[in-house]
Amino acid sequence: MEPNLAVEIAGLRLKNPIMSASGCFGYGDEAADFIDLAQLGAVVTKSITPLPRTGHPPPKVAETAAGMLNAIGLSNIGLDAFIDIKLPYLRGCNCVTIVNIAGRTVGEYVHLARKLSEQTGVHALEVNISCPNVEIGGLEFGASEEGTARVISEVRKVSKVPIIAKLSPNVTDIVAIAQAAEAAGADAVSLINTLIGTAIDAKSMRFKLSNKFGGLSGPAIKPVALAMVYKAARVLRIPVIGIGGISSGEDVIEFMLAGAAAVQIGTACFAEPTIFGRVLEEIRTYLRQRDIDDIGTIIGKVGDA
Amino acid sequence: MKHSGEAVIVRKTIVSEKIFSIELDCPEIAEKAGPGQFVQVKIPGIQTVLWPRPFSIHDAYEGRIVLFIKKYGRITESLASLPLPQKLFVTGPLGNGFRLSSGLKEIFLVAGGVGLPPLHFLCKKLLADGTRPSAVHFYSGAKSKAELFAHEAITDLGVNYHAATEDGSAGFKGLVTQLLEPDLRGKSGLCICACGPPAMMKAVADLAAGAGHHCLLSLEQLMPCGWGVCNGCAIKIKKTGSEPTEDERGFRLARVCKEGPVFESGMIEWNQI
Repeated sequence: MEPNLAVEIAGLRLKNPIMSASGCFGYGDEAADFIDLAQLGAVVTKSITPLPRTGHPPPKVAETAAGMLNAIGLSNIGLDAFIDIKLPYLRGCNCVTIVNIAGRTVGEYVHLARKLSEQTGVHALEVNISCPNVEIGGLEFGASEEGTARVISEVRKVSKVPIIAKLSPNVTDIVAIAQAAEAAGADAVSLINTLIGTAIDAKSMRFKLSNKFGGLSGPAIKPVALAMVYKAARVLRIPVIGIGGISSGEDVIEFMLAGAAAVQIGTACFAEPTIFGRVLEEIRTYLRQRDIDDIGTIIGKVGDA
Repeated sequence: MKHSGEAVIVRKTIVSEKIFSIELDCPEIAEKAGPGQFVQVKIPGIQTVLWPRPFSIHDAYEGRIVLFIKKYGRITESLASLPLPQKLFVTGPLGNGFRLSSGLKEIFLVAGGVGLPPLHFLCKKLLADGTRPSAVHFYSGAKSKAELFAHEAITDLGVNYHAATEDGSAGFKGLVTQLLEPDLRGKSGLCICACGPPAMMKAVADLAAGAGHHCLLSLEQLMPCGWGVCNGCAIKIKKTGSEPTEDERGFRLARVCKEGPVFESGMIEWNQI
C-alpha cells in the first residue's frame, strides 16, 4: 500500500509535507517550465511588499562551501502586481498557495495581510519577520519577543487565513521567539531563515556582496536548522515547518523526526527545479521499506543516540 | 516542459590546453534550443559546490547538444578530466537568445575567445532559415591560434570568416574589434551580435552606438538557478520610466538568466561589468 503523505498544518490539509521555500521559487510560474505545481504540498511565494522593490545592487550572491550567501533585498513586483498578475496564475494551478509577506512597519504587515487574505486562492500567509537583508523591517521585528508579538498579533487580527511566522536563527533564543509568536496567535512557525554571514575575496581585497552581509543557506546550515526545529517543536503546541539545507528524502525524514510537521526546500531547487518529485519518491521508498503507512506517525519521534 | 535531469556525455574533444568541447545526448534540450540560449550543468556527486555552471549552446543536432568550455576553476577542470561515459545533470534550454527582426540584409557576428558558441549556433540557424540575410560576416578573436576554434565549421557554412589573434599566430594580429572597426566604416543600420570578454563587448557596443547600428550582446554571469527564481544573476540596466518603488534606486535590474543572456547593448550599464 502507498504510504500516506498527507499532513495538516494550521488547519490546511496538504497532500504531502513538501513546500517550496520563500525566495527560492519566485511566484511559482517560472517553475511551471519544469514541474506541475500541484505536485507540491504547498507553494510558498517570495516575499511580497506593499510597493515593488528593486533590491540590492549586484553582486547579490556568493558561493560558499556547501552553501551560498544571498543579499537580494526583497526584490519583488509589489502587492498590486502580485494580485493582478501572479495570483490568477497560481489559482489556476490547483496548488495550496502560501503568500509570504514583508513589511517595514506593523502597519504595512497589516495592510498586506488584510488585502491578501481576502483574495481567493491565498490559503495562508507566511509572515517574514526574519529577512536579514533589509535595513527597515524584517529582522528588526523577528529579533525580539516583543517585536514578534507586535507583528503577529496585529496580523492575526486582520487575516482571514492561517498565519505562519517565519523565524530567524540570528537570535539568542529562537524558542522564546517561537513561543512569543504562538502566544500572539500564529497558527504555525517556519524555521529557519538564513544565517547572517559574509564572504571576502582575498584576491581583490573586497567584500563579495554589495550589501557586505548576506544570508547563508544550503546544506551548510542543516545541522543548525535541525537543532532549532527540535528545540522549538518540543515546547510549541502549534506545528513547526522545518527549513534549512534540505535536498533529499532522508533530509525531510530527519526534520520530521526532529519534530517538523512539514518542510520547505529552498536552495536545493535552484540547481534542480525537479527536486520535489525526486524527494517525494525517496520519502515513499523510505516509508515503504520500514512499513510505515503514515508519515505523520514519525513526527518528533527521534530517539537518543 | 524544459529538461532538468541527467544527460550523458557522448563525446569529448580537446581543442587546446585550456579549451575542450563536450557533446551531450539530450533530445529534450536539442529539439527546443535556440541560438543564444544556454544550459546549466552540474557534476553529480559534488556536494560542496551548489551552483550549476552555465554554458551557451554551440550546436544542437540529432538529439545532441554541443558545449565549448574553457578551464577556469575547479568545476571546469573537473569537467575536463571526467572519464567517459559520464552523466551530468543538465537543465535547459534557458534564457532569451538572439531575437532578430526578419529581412536583415547584412549581419556581423563577433566572437571573443570562448564566447563563440552562441554566435556559431546563431550563424547556423540564420543560414538554415528561409529568410537568410544577404551577407553574414563572422569575426572570431582569440589570444592565439591554439585558442581559435570551430573555424572550419563556420567557413563550411559559407560565411565571410575573419580571424584575429592577439599574438598574430593566425589571421589579423590584434584585437578582433580592431579587425572589425574598418569594415563597419561608412555603413549604417547594420545588425551586430557579439559575445566575449566584457572589454571586447564594450568596444563592440561603442562601435555600434557611434554609427547607430543595432547591437545585441550575450552576457555571462554566475547563476545559482538559471531559471529566474533566485535573482542572484541580476545586473543593472538603464532605468526607463518611473514606476514608484519602495526602495528608490537609480537603476533597474534584469536577470541575465531570464531577461537575458542576450541584451540590447544600449540597455547595459557598463560601469558594473
